[in-house]
Amino acid sequence: MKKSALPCRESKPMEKENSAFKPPVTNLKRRKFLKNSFIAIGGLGTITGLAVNNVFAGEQTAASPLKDPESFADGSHLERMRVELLRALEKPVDQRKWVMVIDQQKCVGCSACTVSCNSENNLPPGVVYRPVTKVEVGKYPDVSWVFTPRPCMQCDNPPCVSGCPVNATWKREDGIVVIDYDICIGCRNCIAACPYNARTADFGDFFGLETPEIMDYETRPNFEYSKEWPRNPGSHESPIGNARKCTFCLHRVRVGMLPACVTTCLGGATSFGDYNDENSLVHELVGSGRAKRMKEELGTAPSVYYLI
Amino acid sequence: MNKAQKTILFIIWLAVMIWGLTGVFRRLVHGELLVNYGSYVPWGLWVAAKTYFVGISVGASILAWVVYAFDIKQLRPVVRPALLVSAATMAAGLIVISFDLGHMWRTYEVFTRPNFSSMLAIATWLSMAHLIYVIAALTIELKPGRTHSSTLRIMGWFGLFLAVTFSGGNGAEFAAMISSPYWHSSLGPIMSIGGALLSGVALVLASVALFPFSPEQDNPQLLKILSRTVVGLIFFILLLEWSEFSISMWYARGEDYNLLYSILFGPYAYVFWFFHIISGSIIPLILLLWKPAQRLSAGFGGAMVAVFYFAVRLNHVIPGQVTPAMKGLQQAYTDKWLTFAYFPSSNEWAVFGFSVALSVAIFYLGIRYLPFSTTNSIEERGE
Repeated sequence: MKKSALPCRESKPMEKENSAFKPPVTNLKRRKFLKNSFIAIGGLGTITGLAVNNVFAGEQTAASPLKDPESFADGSHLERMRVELLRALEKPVDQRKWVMVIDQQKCVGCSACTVSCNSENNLPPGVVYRPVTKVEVGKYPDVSWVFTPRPCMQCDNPPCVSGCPVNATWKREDGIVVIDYDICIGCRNCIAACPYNARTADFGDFFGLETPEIMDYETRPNFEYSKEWPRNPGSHESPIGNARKCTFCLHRVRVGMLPACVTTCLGGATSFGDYNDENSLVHELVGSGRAKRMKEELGTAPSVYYLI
Repeated sequence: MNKAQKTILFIIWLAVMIWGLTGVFRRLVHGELLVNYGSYVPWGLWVAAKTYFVGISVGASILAWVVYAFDIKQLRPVVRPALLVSAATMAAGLIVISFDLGHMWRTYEVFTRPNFSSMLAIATWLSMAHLIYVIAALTIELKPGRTHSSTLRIMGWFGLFLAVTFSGGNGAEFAAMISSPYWHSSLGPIMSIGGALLSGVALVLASVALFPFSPEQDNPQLLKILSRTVVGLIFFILLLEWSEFSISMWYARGEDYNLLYSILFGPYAYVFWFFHIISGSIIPLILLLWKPAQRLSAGFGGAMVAVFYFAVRLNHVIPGQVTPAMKGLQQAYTDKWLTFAYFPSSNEWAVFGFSVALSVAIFYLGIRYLPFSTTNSIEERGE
C-alpha cells in the first residue's frame, strides 16, 4: 500500500501518544494502580492550575496595553499583524498608511465585530460603526449569503471632510479620518455626504431611556481619540449632538493594539496594517488580485479593501 | 379686512405660535430625542423648511432688485413688501435650521473657522450677507427723503448678483453631493433659483393682493404683471421637473428610476400630485390666468403657489436620502435611528409652525409699525 504524502494522515505517533494514557491495570497490583492514579491526578491538577493561572495572567497583561500589548499565538495572523503594527508605530506618523482588508470568503456573518466595536466605543442607540450586511444570493438549491462588514472607508479623498462647514473633520497623515467632537456643530452634512452611510449621529439616546432605570454601562465614558467622553442622560455635551464614525480604533492602535473588530473576527476575515510596509499582511492581500474597493467609481479612494 | 376676519386670523396665528413654542421648549430641553430623522435620513423637515424659507426670501428680494436694476416704475409699489417678505422668511429659515443643529450654540464657528470648500459654509456666509443686504435696502427704502436712482440701480445689480449666487449655492449644497444620485444633478442650482423666484414672487403677489397697505398696491395692472410672472415661473419649474423626471425615467431603468417612480407612485405620491401639481400648480394657474388682476383670485393663486411649493422642497430633500448605500444596510443593525423611512414627528411640525408664526409676526409688525403706508414715497424719489 502506498504511503500517504500528507503528514496529517500519519497516525502512528498519535496512536503512540494515546497509548501512554491507557491505564495499565492488567499488569499492576491494585495498590500500585491507586498510587499511580493519585500521582497522575495530582499532576494533571498542577498542570491545569498552571494553565488557568497563565490565562488570567494573560488577561491581566492585556488590561495594561502600554506595558505589554496583547499578544496572540505565534504563527497566527493576528500575531503577525500585531508585530507589524508595532513596527509601523516606530515610524513617523506620515509614513504610515493604515489599511483594512476584509475577506468576504472568510466572513461568516457572526457580527462579532459589530458587537466588539459597540462595546469598545460604548456606542449609544443610533450610532453604529461597523454593521455587517447580509444579502442572500442565488435561488434554491444554489443559495448563499454574502456578508459585508462596513467600517468607515477612511477615504483618501473623503467627501465628508470637504463638506464639513467648520473644519471639524479631517484626514490624518496616517489615513484615518477623525472628528473633533468639541468643534462639530452637528449639522450632519458629513453624514449626508458619505456615499457609504458610514457616519451616524449621536442624538443623546440611551437604551434604557424609557425603562425604569438606565444601566450603569450606558453612562460609562468612551475613550475615542484617547480622551474620556462622559455620557449622562439629559446632557447635551459632546459627543451627544455630533456626527460619529469608526476610526479604526485609533485609541487602541496608538498603544499597539489592533482594532477591536480585527481581534474579535472569529473567521480571521479582517486584516489591518500599514500599507506602506511592503512586508505587511495587508500589502500582500491588497496585491492578491482579489481586492476590490467599494464604489471606486466615485473617486473617493477608500482605505478598506474587500477580498471577493 | 374687517374686524371679525382680523380676529379669526389672530386666533389662528396665536394657536400656531403657542403650539410652536411648546415645540421649541421641548427641543431645547430634550435635544434631538423627539425628532424622527436619524442617522440614515439625517436631514428632515427642518432642512426642507430652511430651503423653503430661504428660497422665498431670495425670490422676493430678486423681485425688488430687478425693480431697482431696471428701474421698473410699474412695480415700484412691490419693493417694500418684497423686501419685508424677504427679511421675515430669511429670519424664519435661520431660526428653523438652528434647531436642526446638534450643537446650535456653536453656529458661530461657521464664521470663526469656516471651511470654504464646503458648500454649506459658503451658503451660510452668503445667507448672512443676503440678510444684511436686505435689511440695509429696507432701511434705505424706508428712509424719508430722496435716494438717487443710480444708487438704487447699483444696489439692484449687486443685490441680483448676491441673490442668484446665494440661491445657486443653496441648490449646489445638495447638487454637489455624490452620495445621492438624485441630488447630484447639474439642474439643482437652476431649479433652486427658479423655485426661489416662483415661491418668492408668488408670496409677494399674495401679500400685495390680499393685504395691500398703500393705495399704489391696490392696482389691477400691478397684480396682472405679477400674476403673469408667476404663471411664467410655474411653467418654467414644470419644464425643469419634466426634464429631470423624463430623462431619468424614460427607459425605465437606471439608478434614479425606482426613486423617482416612488415619488410619483409611492406611498407619498400625494405630496407630488395633490400638493405640488394640483394645489400648487393647476389651481393657481386657473386662478391666475382666469382673473389675473382681481385681488382675491390673484391673492389666493399666489398664496397657493407659495404655500404648496413646500411640497417641492420636501420632495427634494427627503427622497435624496432614502436609498441605502448598500443593500441590506437597514437590516444589518436594527435601531429606530437607523431607518431609511421618514415622516416628521409632531415636535418637528411644531418647531416648523413656530418658524411660520415668527415670519408672519415679523411681516405683520413690519407693516404695522414701519412707515410702509406713506403714499408719497414713490413720488418723493422723483426719478
